[in-house]
Amino acid sequence: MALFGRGTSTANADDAILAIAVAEPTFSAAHQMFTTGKVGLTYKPNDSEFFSELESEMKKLLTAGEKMTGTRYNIVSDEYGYRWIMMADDQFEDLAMAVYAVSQSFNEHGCRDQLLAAVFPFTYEGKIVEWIYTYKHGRFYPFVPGMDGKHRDNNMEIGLSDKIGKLLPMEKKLTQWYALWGVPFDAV
Amino acid sequence: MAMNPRWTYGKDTSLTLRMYFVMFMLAALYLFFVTAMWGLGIPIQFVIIIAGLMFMFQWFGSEKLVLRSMHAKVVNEQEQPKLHAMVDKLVANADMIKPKVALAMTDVPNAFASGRNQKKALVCVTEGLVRRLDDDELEGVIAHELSHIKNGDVRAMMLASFFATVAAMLMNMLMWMTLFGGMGRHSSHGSSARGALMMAYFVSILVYFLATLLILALSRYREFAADRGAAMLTGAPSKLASALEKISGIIAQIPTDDLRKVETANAFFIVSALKGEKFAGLFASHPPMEKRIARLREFETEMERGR
Repeated sequence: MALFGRGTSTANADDAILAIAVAEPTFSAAHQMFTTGKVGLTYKPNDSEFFSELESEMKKLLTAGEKMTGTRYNIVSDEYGYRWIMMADDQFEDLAMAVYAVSQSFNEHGCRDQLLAAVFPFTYEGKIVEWIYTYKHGRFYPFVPGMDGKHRDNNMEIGLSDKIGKLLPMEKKLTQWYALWGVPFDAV
Repeated sequence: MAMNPRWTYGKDTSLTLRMYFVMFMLAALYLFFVTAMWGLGIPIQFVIIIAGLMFMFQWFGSEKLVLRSMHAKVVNEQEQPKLHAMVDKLVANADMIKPKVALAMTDVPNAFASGRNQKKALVCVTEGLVRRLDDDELEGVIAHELSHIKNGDVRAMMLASFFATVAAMLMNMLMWMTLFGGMGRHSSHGSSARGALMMAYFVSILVYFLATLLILALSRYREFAADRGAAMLTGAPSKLASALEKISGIIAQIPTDDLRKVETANAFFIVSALKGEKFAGLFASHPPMEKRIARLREFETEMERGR
């Protein structure tokens, strides 16, 4: 049974996403870091039948969520050939739950490898901090993009990972802190 | 070791020569600039007066402005006994007047010196720097900033930038003038006045661009000189070298590449090779860390041999 059954590690794979929902009240109360009311989830689409089935089911899920919790969504493609599910909701908990639900449906369809990252943007000291969750590593890291789309505020990022390190499962290897330039937050 | 060990290992002659060469080029460039403007009938004296006032504002401007912009405050011996003790020791070695000591409330690991002369001088370190470095490394960084003060770098850079500021102001002014058809009452001169304006505009752009490159080169040379000064002052170049390694090492690990690009590249086994570092070097105000660290390591062996 265990040979074909779903391993526990897969079932709990993205529980770290729930950690940011738990941490968010502390973000705002203790660190003056506030949600922008948006979130983005990006994946690499493919042409298989399985995948189009997954996408249509996902849309049903998101539309149902829109009616239930008022979480708006939009799906856009980018120049890298990745697709973005952009969601907006004033309740951060609803956003995090929506990301978690989408991740679960990818898992259930065996498409977890298509998932790249989820991005949770916050305002902090006049800048936007994007907490990036990578599905490959199951950990978070901060990304503070500059206005020019080329430079990032490494000092703020390091400072933040020191401060927030206890609240989130943090990516310890700085070499893995890849940027995600131009997340289409305006699409929703 | 002697009481005043600073120059006992001699100066870096080629560095000094390059520094003077750049300063000479700057002076020549500015002379050309003023002459060209005069020749083209641009009333440059007004611009020089305005820029002069800005300069005076900087020159006599209070350190409070600098401190405020860096979120820093001057600290006394009771507040920061360790920092003061370090500065005291280094200042005694360098035989200079003790500058004010300030601490900036930011996690950015950095330090700077300000003040147009030794009496007005101030050395500032950030909390992030103090937190990350051990005492020896911090001493190396402070010695580097003290060398800037001793070498009169703040004053030198202010002077070097003066005419670049003039050129930049003229550039802006002339752009609006050419757009809105000449200098008021002179507009009756027609196309020849307009041609002169265009000409002056392009000269200003050229001067500004060249001046910026030269100033950046000068700044890089002065950084090398301050590194050398710090090495002499602490008697251990490795202190500053390891501080630089620590600061740059942390920052340098964080990539700027996009996650999507990297994922795609991984799939096709493509390695991104070109990064345009030559170009960055030309426009940087500080020399690359690796070069500074390499030179400090060279001093280290040089000093060991001299002992």
